[in-house]
Amino acid sequence: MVNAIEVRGLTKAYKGFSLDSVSFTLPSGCIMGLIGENGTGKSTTIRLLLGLARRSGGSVRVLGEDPETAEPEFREELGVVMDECPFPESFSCRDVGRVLAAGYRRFEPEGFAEMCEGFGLDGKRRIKDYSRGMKMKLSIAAALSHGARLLLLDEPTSGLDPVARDELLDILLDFIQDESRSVLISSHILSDLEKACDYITFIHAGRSVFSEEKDALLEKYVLAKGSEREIAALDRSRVLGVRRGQFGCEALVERGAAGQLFTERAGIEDIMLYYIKGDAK
Amino acid sequence: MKALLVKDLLTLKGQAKSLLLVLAVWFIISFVNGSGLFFTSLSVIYGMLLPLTTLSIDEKSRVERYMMSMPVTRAELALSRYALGLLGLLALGVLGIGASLVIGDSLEEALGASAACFCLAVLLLGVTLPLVYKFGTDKARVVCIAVYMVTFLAVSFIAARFGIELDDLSGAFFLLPFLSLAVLALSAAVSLGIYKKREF
Repeated sequence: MVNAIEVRGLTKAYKGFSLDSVSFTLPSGCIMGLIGENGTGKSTTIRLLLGLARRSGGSVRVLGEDPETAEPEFREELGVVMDECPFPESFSCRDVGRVLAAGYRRFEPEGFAEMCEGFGLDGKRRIKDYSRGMKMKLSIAAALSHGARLLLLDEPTSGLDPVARDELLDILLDFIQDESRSVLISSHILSDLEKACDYITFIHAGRSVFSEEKDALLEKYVLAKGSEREIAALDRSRVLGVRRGQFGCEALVERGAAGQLFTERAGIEDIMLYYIKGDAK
Repeated sequence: MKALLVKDLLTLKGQAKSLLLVLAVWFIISFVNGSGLFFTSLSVIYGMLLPLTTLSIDEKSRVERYMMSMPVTRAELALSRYALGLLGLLALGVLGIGASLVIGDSLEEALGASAACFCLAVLLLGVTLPLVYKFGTDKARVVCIAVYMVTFLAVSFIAARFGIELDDLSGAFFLLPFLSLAVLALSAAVSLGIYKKREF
Protein backbone atom coordinates (compact mmCIF):
# COMPACT_ATOMS: atom_id res chain seq x y z
CA MET A 1 0.00 0.00 0.00
CA VAL A 2 1.34 3.45 -0.91
CA ASN A 3 1.56 5.93 1.93
CA ALA A 4 -0.07 9.34 1.59
CA ILE A 5 2.05 10.82 4.38
CA GLU A 6 5.30 9.62 5.95
CA VAL A 7 6.74 11.68 8.79
CA ARG A 8 9.93 10.60 10.58
CA GLY A 9 11.50 12.43 13.51
CA LEU A 10 9.99 15.76 12.47
CA THR A 11 11.33 18.66 14.52
CA LYS A 12 10.77 22.37 14.41
CA ALA A 13 12.28 24.79 16.89
CA TYR A 14 10.64 28.07 17.81
CA LYS A 15 11.37 30.40 20.68
CA GLY A 16 9.50 28.92 23.63
CA PHE A 17 8.06 25.95 21.73
CA SER A 18 9.43 23.09 19.77
CA LEU A 19 8.03 20.21 17.86
CA ASP A 20 10.28 17.36 18.83
CA SER A 21 10.46 14.11 16.95
CA VAL A 22 6.98 13.63 15.55
CA SER A 23 6.57 10.44 13.51
CA PHE A 24 3.54 8.86 11.83
CA THR A 25 2.47 7.20 8.61
CA LEU A 26 -0.88 7.66 6.89
CA PRO A 27 -1.60 4.92 4.34
CA SER A 28 -3.62 5.85 1.24
CA GLY A 29 -7.35 5.33 1.47
CA CYS A 30 -7.43 6.10 5.21
CA ILE A 31 -8.40 8.88 7.57
CA MET A 32 -6.00 9.83 10.34
CA GLY A 33 -6.99 11.95 13.33
CA LEU A 34 -4.37 14.23 14.84
CA ILE A 35 -5.22 14.84 18.47
CA GLY A 36 -3.69 16.82 21.31
CA GLU A 37 -4.21 19.87 23.50
CA ASN A 38 -4.08 23.44 22.23
CA GLY A 39 -0.56 24.57 21.42
CA THR A 40 0.96 21.10 21.30
CA GLY A 41 1.98 21.35 17.65
CA LYS A 42 -0.92 20.02 15.57
CA SER A 43 -1.20 23.15 13.39
CA THR A 44 2.60 23.39 13.17
CA THR A 45 2.71 19.79 11.93
CA ILE A 46 0.14 20.57 9.23
CA ARG A 47 2.06 23.71 8.20
CA LEU A 48 5.24 21.63 7.89
CA LEU A 49 3.38 19.05 5.79
CA LEU A 50 2.37 21.87 3.45
CA GLY A 51 5.87 23.34 3.27
CA LEU A 52 4.57 26.63 4.73
CA ALA A 53 7.24 26.47 7.41
CA ARG A 54 10.69 24.87 7.17
CA ARG A 55 11.47 21.94 9.43
CA SER A 56 14.54 21.95 11.66
CA GLY A 57 15.03 18.19 11.29
CA GLY A 58 13.51 14.88 10.29
CA SER A 59 11.94 13.85 7.01
CA VAL A 60 8.53 14.43 5.48
CA ARG A 61 6.98 12.80 2.43
CA VAL A 62 3.54 13.92 1.29
CA LEU A 63 2.22 11.90 -1.67
CA GLY A 64 5.81 10.82 -2.18
CA GLU A 65 7.18 14.38 -2.35
CA ASP A 66 9.13 16.55 0.05
CA PRO A 67 6.78 19.55 0.46
CA GLU A 68 9.70 21.97 0.87
CA THR A 69 11.21 21.16 -2.51
CA ALA A 70 8.22 19.89 -4.51
CA GLU A 71 7.04 21.75 -7.62
CA PRO A 72 3.98 23.94 -6.92
CA GLU A 73 1.82 21.64 -9.12
CA PHE A 74 2.13 19.07 -6.33
CA ARG A 75 -0.25 21.21 -4.30
CA GLU A 76 -3.00 20.62 -6.90
CA GLU A 77 -3.36 17.27 -5.10
CA LEU A 78 -3.93 18.83 -1.67
CA GLY A 79 -7.17 20.17 -0.23
CA VAL A 80 -6.57 22.35 2.80
CA VAL A 81 -8.72 23.71 5.61
CA MET A 82 -6.89 26.15 7.88
CA ASP A 83 -7.79 26.72 11.52
CA GLU A 84 -9.41 30.04 10.56
CA CYS A 85 -11.22 31.22 7.44
CA PRO A 86 -8.41 32.44 5.17
CA PHE A 87 -10.37 34.62 2.77
CA PRO A 88 -10.76 38.43 3.02
CA GLU A 89 -14.00 39.45 4.71
CA SER A 90 -15.18 41.41 1.67
CA PHE A 91 -15.22 38.20 -0.42
CA SER A 92 -18.38 36.32 -1.29
CA CYS A 93 -18.59 32.61 -2.01
CA ARG A 94 -18.44 33.45 -5.72
CA ASP A 95 -15.26 35.49 -5.26
CA VAL A 96 -13.65 32.50 -3.53
CA GLY A 97 -14.71 30.37 -6.52
CA ARG A 98 -13.04 32.85 -8.90
CA VAL A 99 -9.74 32.67 -7.03
CA LEU A 100 -9.88 28.86 -6.91
CA ALA A 101 -10.72 28.73 -10.65
CA ALA A 102 -7.65 30.87 -11.39
CA GLY A 103 -5.43 28.76 -9.13
CA TYR A 104 -6.39 25.12 -9.70
CA ARG A 105 -6.36 23.47 -13.11
CA ARG A 106 -8.90 20.87 -12.02
CA PHE A 107 -11.30 23.26 -10.25
CA GLU A 108 -14.89 22.05 -10.60
CA PRO A 109 -17.12 25.18 -10.63
CA GLU A 110 -20.42 23.27 -10.63
CA GLY A 111 -19.30 20.99 -7.81
CA PHE A 112 -18.14 23.98 -5.74
CA ALA A 113 -21.39 25.89 -6.35
CA GLU A 114 -23.47 22.81 -5.49
CA MET A 115 -21.55 22.20 -2.30
CA CYS A 116 -21.89 25.87 -1.23
CA GLU A 117 -25.61 25.69 -1.94
CA GLY A 118 -25.87 22.41 -0.04
CA PHE A 119 -24.14 24.07 2.93
CA GLY A 120 -26.65 26.95 2.75
CA LEU A 121 -24.03 29.52 1.69
CA ASP A 122 -25.49 32.39 -0.31
CA GLY A 123 -23.28 33.09 -3.35
CA LYS A 124 -23.52 36.88 -2.98
CA ARG A 125 -23.34 37.32 0.80
CA ARG A 126 -20.01 38.56 2.11
CA ILE A 127 -17.85 36.47 4.43
CA LYS A 128 -17.95 39.19 7.11
CA ASP A 129 -21.66 38.36 7.55
CA TYR A 130 -20.99 34.61 7.87
CA SER A 131 -21.11 32.76 11.18
CA ARG A 132 -18.03 30.78 12.25
CA GLY A 133 -19.71 27.58 11.11
CA MET A 134 -20.50 29.05 7.67
CA LYS A 135 -16.89 30.19 7.23
CA MET A 136 -15.74 26.67 8.03
CA LYS A 137 -18.21 25.20 5.54
CA LEU A 138 -16.88 27.54 2.84
CA SER A 139 -13.30 26.42 3.61
CA ILE A 140 -14.38 22.78 3.39
CA ALA A 141 -16.17 23.36 0.05
CA ALA A 142 -12.98 25.03 -1.27
CA ALA A 143 -10.82 22.08 -0.14
CA LEU A 144 -13.09 19.62 -1.93
CA SER A 145 -13.46 21.70 -5.11
CA HIS A 146 -10.46 20.67 -7.19
CA GLY A 147 -10.08 16.91 -7.16
CA ALA A 148 -7.51 16.74 -4.33
CA ARG A 149 -6.10 13.33 -3.37
CA LEU A 150 -5.15 14.32 0.16
CA LEU A 151 -7.14 16.52 2.53
CA LEU A 152 -5.29 18.29 5.34
CA LEU A 153 -7.90 19.65 7.71
CA ASP A 154 -6.96 21.74 10.75
CA GLU A 155 -9.86 21.75 13.23
CA PRO A 156 -12.55 21.66 10.52
CA THR A 157 -15.32 20.66 12.93
CA SER A 158 -14.89 23.61 15.30
CA GLY A 159 -17.83 25.98 15.05
CA LEU A 160 -20.00 23.40 13.29
CA ASP A 161 -23.24 22.22 14.86
CA PRO A 162 -23.65 18.45 15.43
CA VAL A 163 -25.67 17.99 12.22
CA ALA A 164 -23.05 19.77 10.09
CA ARG A 165 -20.26 17.83 11.84
CA ASP A 166 -22.01 14.59 11.03
CA GLU A 167 -22.44 15.73 7.40
CA LEU A 168 -18.73 16.52 7.19
CA LEU A 169 -17.79 13.09 8.52
CA ASP A 170 -20.07 11.50 5.90
CA ILE A 171 -18.37 13.61 3.21
CA LEU A 172 -14.93 12.45 4.41
CA LEU A 173 -15.98 8.79 4.54
CA ASP A 174 -17.39 9.16 1.02
CA PHE A 175 -14.18 10.92 -0.10
CA ILE A 176 -11.95 7.97 0.83
CA GLN A 177 -14.12 5.44 -1.03
CA ASP A 178 -11.58 6.04 -3.77
CA GLU A 179 -8.56 4.34 -2.22
CA SER A 180 -6.06 6.72 -3.76
CA ARG A 181 -7.43 9.44 -1.47
CA SER A 182 -6.64 10.13 2.18
CA VAL A 183 -7.45 12.57 4.96
CA LEU A 184 -5.48 14.00 7.86
CA ILE A 185 -7.79 15.78 10.28
CA SER A 186 -6.98 17.51 13.54
CA SER A 187 -9.83 18.04 15.96
CA HIS A 188 -10.69 18.68 19.57
CA ILE A 189 -13.98 16.89 19.18
CA LEU A 190 -12.69 13.41 19.76
CA SER A 191 -16.06 11.71 19.34
CA ASP A 192 -15.98 12.87 15.70
CA LEU A 193 -12.57 11.35 15.18
CA GLU A 194 -13.64 8.14 16.86
CA LYS A 195 -16.46 7.82 14.33
CA ALA A 196 -14.48 8.51 11.18
CA CYS A 197 -10.78 7.79 11.65
CA ASP A 198 -8.82 4.66 10.83
CA TYR A 199 -5.68 5.91 12.60
CA ILE A 200 -5.07 8.20 15.57
CA THR A 201 -1.87 10.16 16.18
CA PHE A 202 -1.58 11.83 19.57
CA ILE A 203 0.78 14.77 19.91
CA HIS A 204 1.59 15.95 23.42
CA ALA A 205 4.05 18.73 24.31
CA GLY A 206 5.48 18.69 20.78
CA ARG A 207 6.05 14.91 20.62
CA SER A 208 3.99 12.17 19.04
CA VAL A 209 3.03 9.97 21.98
CA PHE A 210 1.47 7.29 19.81
CA SER A 211 0.27 6.75 16.27
CA GLU A 212 -1.87 3.66 15.96
CA GLU A 213 -4.81 2.08 14.22
CA LYS A 214 -7.91 3.29 16.02
CA ASP A 215 -9.50 -0.15 16.44
CA ALA A 216 -6.27 -1.60 17.82
CA LEU A 217 -5.98 1.34 20.20
CA LEU A 218 -9.56 0.94 21.46
CA GLU A 219 -8.97 -2.79 21.80
CA LYS A 220 -5.72 -2.24 23.70
CA TYR A 221 -7.03 -0.43 26.80
CA VAL A 222 -9.92 -0.60 29.28
CA LEU A 223 -10.93 1.53 32.24
CA ALA A 224 -10.64 -0.47 35.48
CA LYS A 225 -12.54 0.69 38.57
CA GLY A 226 -11.87 -0.22 42.15
CA SER A 227 -10.58 0.91 45.52
CA GLU A 228 -7.20 2.54 45.83
CA ARG A 229 -5.77 -0.72 47.20
CA GLU A 230 -7.18 -2.80 44.35
CA ILE A 231 -5.81 -0.40 41.73
CA ALA A 232 -2.42 -0.28 43.47
CA ALA A 233 -2.25 -4.08 43.25
CA LEU A 234 -2.41 -4.06 39.42
CA ASP A 235 0.68 -4.83 37.34
CA ARG A 236 2.15 -1.33 37.11
CA SER A 237 3.93 -1.99 33.84
CA ARG A 238 0.49 -2.41 32.22
CA VAL A 239 -1.18 0.61 33.84
CA LEU A 240 -1.15 3.80 31.76
CA GLY A 241 -2.50 6.16 34.39
CA VAL A 242 -4.61 6.39 37.53
CA ARG A 243 -7.22 8.94 38.59
CA ARG A 244 -8.43 9.17 42.14
CA GLY A 245 -12.00 10.33 42.77
CA GLN A 246 -14.28 10.77 45.74
CA PHE A 247 -15.79 7.28 45.38
CA GLY A 248 -12.74 5.27 44.42
CA CYS A 249 -10.06 4.92 41.81
CA GLU A 250 -10.05 4.46 38.08
CA ALA A 251 -7.13 3.32 35.97
CA LEU A 252 -6.48 3.01 32.27
CA VAL A 253 -4.95 -0.43 31.89
CA GLU A 254 -4.06 -2.79 29.10
CA ARG A 255 -6.88 -5.19 28.32
CA GLY A 256 -6.36 -8.38 30.31
CA ALA A 257 -4.46 -6.60 33.04
CA ALA A 258 -7.52 -5.56 35.07
CA GLY A 259 -7.88 -8.91 36.86
CA GLN A 260 -11.26 -9.25 38.56
CA LEU A 261 -11.93 -5.50 38.60
CA PHE A 262 -15.00 -4.03 36.97
CA THR A 263 -14.02 -2.63 33.55
CA GLU A 264 -15.50 -0.25 31.01
CA ARG A 265 -14.66 0.47 27.39
CA ALA A 266 -12.05 3.25 27.08
CA GLY A 267 -12.65 5.85 24.37
CA ILE A 268 -10.03 7.95 22.56
CA GLU A 269 -10.83 10.83 24.93
CA ASP A 270 -10.13 8.63 27.99
CA ILE A 271 -6.84 7.48 26.53
CA MET A 272 -5.78 11.07 25.74
CA LEU A 273 -6.83 12.36 29.17
CA TYR A 274 -5.00 9.57 31.01
CA TYR A 275 -1.86 10.25 29.05
CA ILE A 276 -2.01 13.95 29.91
CA LYS A 277 -3.63 14.10 33.34
CA GLY A 278 -3.48 10.58 34.77
CA ASP A 279 -1.35 10.36 37.90
CA ALA A 280 1.92 8.55 37.74
CA LYS A 281 1.46 4.80 37.84
CA MET B 1 0.30 34.34 -10.46
CA LYS B 2 -3.16 34.56 -12.02
CA ALA B 3 -4.87 33.39 -8.83
CA LEU B 4 -2.91 35.99 -6.82
CA LEU B 5 -3.90 38.83 -9.14
CA VAL B 6 -7.54 37.70 -9.20
CA LYS B 7 -7.45 37.62 -5.38
CA ASP B 8 -5.95 41.16 -5.29
CA LEU B 9 -8.41 42.60 -7.82
CA LEU B 10 -11.38 41.07 -5.96
CA THR B 11 -9.98 42.50 -2.71
CA LEU B 12 -9.80 45.93 -4.34
CA LYS B 13 -13.34 45.57 -5.71
CA GLY B 14 -14.55 46.42 -2.22
CA GLN B 15 -12.62 49.71 -2.43
CA ALA B 16 -13.77 50.57 -5.97
CA LYS B 17 -16.50 53.01 -4.94
CA SER B 18 -14.24 55.10 -2.73
CA LEU B 19 -11.48 55.08 -5.40
CA LEU B 20 -13.90 56.36 -8.06
CA LEU B 21 -15.21 59.03 -5.69
CA VAL B 22 -11.69 60.26 -4.86
CA LEU B 23 -10.74 60.33 -8.56
CA ALA B 24 -13.91 62.29 -9.38
CA VAL B 25 -13.14 64.89 -6.68
CA TRP B 26 -9.54 65.26 -7.87
CA PHE B 27 -10.73 65.61 -11.47
CA ILE B 28 -13.14 68.41 -10.50
CA ILE B 29 -10.38 70.25 -8.57
CA SER B 30 -8.01 69.86 -11.51
CA PHE B 31 -10.70 70.97 -13.96
CA VAL B 32 -11.44 74.13 -11.93
CA ASN B 33 -7.69 74.92 -11.75
CA GLY B 34 -7.32 74.27 -15.48
CA SER B 35 -4.30 71.96 -15.07
CA GLY B 36 -4.20 68.16 -15.28
CA LEU B 37 -1.00 67.87 -13.23
CA PHE B 38 -2.85 67.78 -9.91
CA PHE B 39 -5.10 64.92 -11.05
CA THR B 40 -2.27 62.99 -12.69
CA SER B 41 0.14 63.22 -9.76
CA LEU B 42 -2.39 62.29 -7.08
CA SER B 43 -4.02 59.47 -9.03
CA VAL B 44 -0.67 57.89 -9.91
CA ILE B 45 0.43 58.06 -6.26
CA TYR B 46 -2.90 56.42 -5.42
CA GLY B 47 -1.97 53.64 -7.86
CA MET B 48 1.18 53.02 -5.86
CA LEU B 49 -0.92 52.52 -2.74
CA LEU B 50 -3.11 49.78 -4.29
CA PRO B 51 -0.75 46.86 -3.54
CA LEU B 52 -0.22 48.23 -0.03
CA THR B 53 -4.00 48.28 0.50
CA THR B 54 -4.35 44.64 -0.54
CA LEU B 55 -1.33 43.70 1.57
CA SER B 56 -2.87 45.13 4.72
CA ILE B 57 -6.15 43.25 4.03
CA ASP B 58 -4.13 40.08 3.26
CA GLU B 59 -2.34 40.38 6.59
CA LYS B 60 -5.65 40.59 8.42
CA SER B 61 -7.19 37.52 6.76
CA ARG B 62 -3.89 35.56 6.60
CA VAL B 63 -4.79 34.70 3.03
CA GLU B 64 -1.08 34.43 2.09
CA ARG B 65 -0.84 31.20 4.07
CA TYR B 66 -3.79 29.79 2.13
CA MET B 67 -2.45 30.96 -1.23
CA MET B 68 0.82 29.16 -0.46
CA SER B 69 -1.14 25.92 -0.01
CA MET B 70 -2.31 26.40 -3.61
CA PRO B 71 -0.11 25.77 -6.69
CA VAL B 72 1.62 29.12 -6.22
CA THR B 73 5.34 29.76 -5.68
CA ARG B 74 6.90 32.04 -3.09
CA ALA B 75 8.41 34.09 -5.93
CA GLU B 76 4.99 34.58 -7.55
CA LEU B 77 3.58 35.73 -4.22
CA ALA B 78 6.41 38.25 -3.76
CA LEU B 79 6.18 39.57 -7.33
CA SER B 80 2.37 39.66 -7.55
CA ARG B 81 2.28 42.98 -5.65
CA TYR B 82 4.77 44.47 -8.12
CA ALA B 83 2.57 43.28 -10.98
CA LEU B 84 -0.53 44.72 -9.34
CA GLY B 85 1.26 48.02 -8.61
CA LEU B 86 2.55 48.38 -12.17
CA LEU B 87 -0.85 47.50 -13.65
CA GLY B 88 -2.54 50.05 -11.39
CA LEU B 89 0.06 52.73 -12.18
CA LEU B 90 -0.25 52.08 -15.90
CA ALA B 91 -4.06 52.29 -15.82
CA LEU B 92 -4.06 55.45 -13.70
CA GLY B 93 -1.21 56.95 -15.78
CA VAL B 94 -3.29 56.48 -18.95
CA LEU B 95 -6.32 57.90 -17.13
CA GLY B 96 -4.16 60.88 -16.12
CA ILE B 97 -3.24 61.54 -19.76
CA GLY B 98 -6.91 61.33 -20.78
CA ALA B 99 -8.04 63.61 -17.95
CA SER B 100 -5.27 66.18 -18.71
CA LEU B 101 -6.30 66.29 -22.37
CA VAL B 102 -9.95 66.82 -21.39
CA ILE B 103 -8.91 69.61 -19.01
CA GLY B 104 -7.09 71.27 -21.89
CA ASP B 105 -3.39 70.44 -21.42
CA SER B 106 -1.33 69.82 -24.55
CA LEU B 107 -0.49 66.22 -25.45
CA GLU B 108 3.16 66.92 -24.69
CA GLU B 109 2.34 68.28 -21.20
CA ALA B 110 -0.06 65.42 -20.47
CA LEU B 111 2.41 62.73 -21.56
CA GLY B 112 5.36 64.35 -19.76
CA ALA B 113 3.50 64.78 -16.47
CA SER B 114 2.08 61.29 -16.55
CA ALA B 115 5.42 59.64 -17.43
CA ALA B 116 7.28 61.58 -14.72
CA CYS B 117 4.66 60.71 -12.08
CA PHE B 118 4.70 57.07 -13.23
CA CYS B 119 8.49 56.85 -12.85
CA LEU B 120 8.42 58.50 -9.42
CA ALA B 121 5.65 56.19 -8.24
CA VAL B 122 7.60 53.15 -9.51
CA LEU B 123 10.60 54.40 -7.53
CA LEU B 124 8.52 54.78 -4.37
CA LEU B 125 6.89 51.38 -4.92
CA GLY B 126 10.33 49.83 -5.24
CA VAL B 127 11.48 51.36 -1.95
CA THR B 128 8.26 50.66 -0.06
CA LEU B 129 7.37 47.05 -0.96
CA PRO B 130 10.44 45.30 0.52
CA LEU B 131 10.03 47.38 3.70
CA VAL B 132 6.38 46.31 3.99
CA TYR B 133 7.31 42.69 3.24
CA LYS B 134 9.98 42.78 5.92
CA PHE B 135 8.22 44.74 8.67
CA GLY B 136 4.49 44.30 7.95
CA THR B 137 2.17 47.16 7.02
CA ASP B 138 1.96 48.69 10.51
CA LYS B 139 5.67 48.89 11.37
CA ALA B 140 6.59 49.65 7.74
CA ARG B 141 4.71 52.99 7.90
CA VAL B 142 7.17 54.26 10.49
CA VAL B 143 10.16 52.71 8.70
CA CYS B 144 9.07 54.23 5.35
CA ILE B 145 8.76 57.71 6.86
CA ALA B 146 12.22 57.28 8.42
CA VAL B 147 13.71 56.10 5.10
CA TYR B 148 12.16 58.99 3.16
CA MET B 149 13.28 61.54 5.75
CA VAL B 150 16.83 60.22 5.89
CA THR B 151 17.00 60.23 2.06
CA PHE B 152 15.66 63.80 1.90
CA LEU B 153 18.06 65.02 4.59
CA ALA B 154 21.00 63.20 3.02
CA VAL B 155 20.30 64.70 -0.42
CA SER B 156 19.87 68.19 1.10
CA PHE B 157 23.09 67.79 3.09
CA ILE B 158 25.11 66.56 0.11
CA ALA B 159 23.69 69.36 -2.07
CA ALA B 160 24.57 71.99 0.55
CA ARG B 161 28.01 70.47 1.22
CA PHE B 162 29.03 70.49 -2.42
CA GLY B 163 27.12 73.62 -3.38
CA ILE B 164 24.80 71.86 -5.82
CA GLU B 165 21.58 73.70 -6.65
CA LEU B 166 18.86 71.03 -6.83
CA ASP B 167 17.14 73.03 -9.59
CA ASP B 168 20.27 72.51 -11.72
CA LEU B 169 19.54 68.79 -11.64
CA SER B 170 16.39 69.22 -13.74
CA GLY B 171 18.57 68.53 -16.76
CA ALA B 172 19.22 65.07 -15.37
CA PHE B 173 15.47 64.35 -15.31
CA PHE B 174 15.84 62.00 -18.26
CA LEU B 175 17.73 59.67 -15.91
CA LEU B 176 14.61 59.13 -13.76
CA PRO B 177 13.22 56.16 -15.77
CA PHE B 178 16.56 54.36 -15.53
CA LEU B 179 16.83 55.08 -11.82
CA SER B 180 13.27 53.80 -11.29
CA LEU B 181 13.96 50.66 -13.26
CA ALA B 182 17.19 49.97 -11.36
CA VAL B 183 15.48 50.50 -7.98
CA LEU B 184 12.58 48.28 -9.07
CA ALA B 185 14.92 45.46 -10.12
CA LEU B 186 16.92 45.69 -6.88
CA SER B 187 13.70 45.88 -4.88
CA ALA B 188 12.27 42.76 -6.58
CA ALA B 189 15.50 40.87 -5.82
CA VAL B 190 15.34 41.88 -2.13
CA SER B 191 11.63 40.92 -1.94
CA LEU B 192 12.33 37.51 -3.50
CA GLY B 193 14.98 36.95 -0.83
CA ILE B 194 12.54 37.92 1.93
CA TYR B 195 9.85 35.53 0.66
CA LYS B 196 12.31 32.69 0.12
CA LYS B 197 12.95 32.63 3.87
CA ARG B 198 9.41 33.48 5.00
CA GLU B 199 7.35 31.07 7.07
CA PHE B 200 3.58 31.20 6.77
